[in-house]
Amino acid sequence: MSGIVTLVSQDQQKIEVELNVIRQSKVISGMLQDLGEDEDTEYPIPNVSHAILKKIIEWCEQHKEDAPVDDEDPSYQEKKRTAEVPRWDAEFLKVDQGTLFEIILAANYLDICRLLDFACMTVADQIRGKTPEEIRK
Amino acid sequence: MVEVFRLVQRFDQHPESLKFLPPLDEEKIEEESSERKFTLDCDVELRGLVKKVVQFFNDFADRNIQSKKKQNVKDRRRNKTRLKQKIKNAEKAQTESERTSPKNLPIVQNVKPKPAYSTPEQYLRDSIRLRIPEHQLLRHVTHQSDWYFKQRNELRSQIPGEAIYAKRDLFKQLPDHLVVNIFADLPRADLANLKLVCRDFDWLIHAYDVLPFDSGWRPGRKYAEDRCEKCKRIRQRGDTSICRFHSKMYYGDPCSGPPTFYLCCHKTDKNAPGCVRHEKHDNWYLNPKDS
Repeated sequence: MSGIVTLVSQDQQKIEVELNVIRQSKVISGMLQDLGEDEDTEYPIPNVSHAILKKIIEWCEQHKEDAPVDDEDPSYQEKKRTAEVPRWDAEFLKVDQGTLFEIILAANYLDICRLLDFACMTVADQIRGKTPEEIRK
Repeated sequence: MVEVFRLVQRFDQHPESLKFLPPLDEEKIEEESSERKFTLDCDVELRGLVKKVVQFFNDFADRNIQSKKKQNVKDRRRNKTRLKQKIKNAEKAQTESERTSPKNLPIVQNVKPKPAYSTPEQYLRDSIRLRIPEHQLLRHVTHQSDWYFKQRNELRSQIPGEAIYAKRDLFKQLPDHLVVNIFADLPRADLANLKLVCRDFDWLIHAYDVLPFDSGWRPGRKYAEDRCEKCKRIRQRGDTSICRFHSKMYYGDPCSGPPTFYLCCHKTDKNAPGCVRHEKHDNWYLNPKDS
C-alpha cells in the first residue's frame, strides 16, 4: 500500500492524493472504508469541479495533522462561536465570491467540518457591518 | 250623567250603604248600547282603511306604468344618440386613414425598429431563443422544461455581462441549512439588516429561528413563555429586536423552575433604563448561588 488514492472530479479529471491527507473528508474516508483502500479504484466526486477539488486538497494538506472533529459535539460548537479564522485559512479563503461559495458547497458535500465553518465565517465577515443595500450588491 | 249625579248624591248621604246597593238595570242597558256604538264605529273605520289601501295600490301601479314608459322613451333617445356618434367616429376614421395612406406619405427607406434594450449585452441575453427539436416536441416537452433552461443558461453563461446576473444568485446555490449556518455567526444588528435585504432572508431567519449570539433572549422552549419584567413582551421567532430593557443577561434556573427574569445591566447609574432599586430587577441584585 503506497497510500495514494485517485479522485475523479466532475469534469472527469484525475487527481492523486495521499490517504492521510484526504481523511479530513468524512465522506471519502467512509467511502474508503466501504470500498477498500485499493490503488486501482478511482473514487468519483461528481459534485466538485477540478479547480475546487484542487483547492480543497491544498487545504487538507495543510491540516493533515489536525485531529478529526465531531460536528455535533457541544464543546466544539461553543469553541466555534468564540474562535476566529486562523491566519493561513483567512489567506486561503481570500478568493472571489463565486469560488468561496463553491468551496462551501464542496466542503458540505465532502463533509469537512472545519473548512465549512471557516468558509461560513468568512462569508459572515463579509456581511458584517454592511447596510442592506450594500449586502444586496 | 244623570245617573252619575244620583250616585254621587247617594254616596254623600249614605257613604257606607253604597257597597250593599244592588246594581241598577239602567246601567246594564247603557253598557249594551255603548258596546253597539263601538262595534259600529269599528266597522266604519275598517271600511275607510280598506278604501285607503286599495287607493294606495292603484296609485302605485299607475306610477310604475308611467315610469316604465318614461324609461323606454329615454332608452330610445340614448340609442339614437349613440348611433349618431358611431357614424361620426367612422367618418372621422375614414378621413384620417385617407390622410395617412402610403400614397400621401413620403417614402422612407431602411427604417429599423428601435430595440428596447439599453446595452447590447442585455439585448443579446434576452434575444436567445432555442429551437426545440421535433422529437422532443412529440414527447410534450414545453419550453419551460429543465432541458430548455439548462441549454439556455449554458448559452447565457458565454456572454460576459452575464457574470453580473450570476453573482446575485450565489446565495440561492446554497442549501438553507448552510445559509442559516452563515447567519448564526452574525450579531443582532447585522441580522436585523439581513432581514431587510430580501424576503428569502427574512423568511429564513424567521423559519429557522436564528438567534444572534449577542441576543439578550434565551433560546429554547423552556423560556418561550417568559416575559420581560419591564415591557411584558414575549420573544418571537427570529427576534432581532434591540430593547433597552432586556438587552441583558437572562437569569433562569430550569431545575428550580420560575421565577426567571432578565438580569440587570449592572450600570452604576441608578436611573439606567430598566433598573429599579428595591425589586428583583435591581442594580445590586446577586444570584443566590453566588452569594
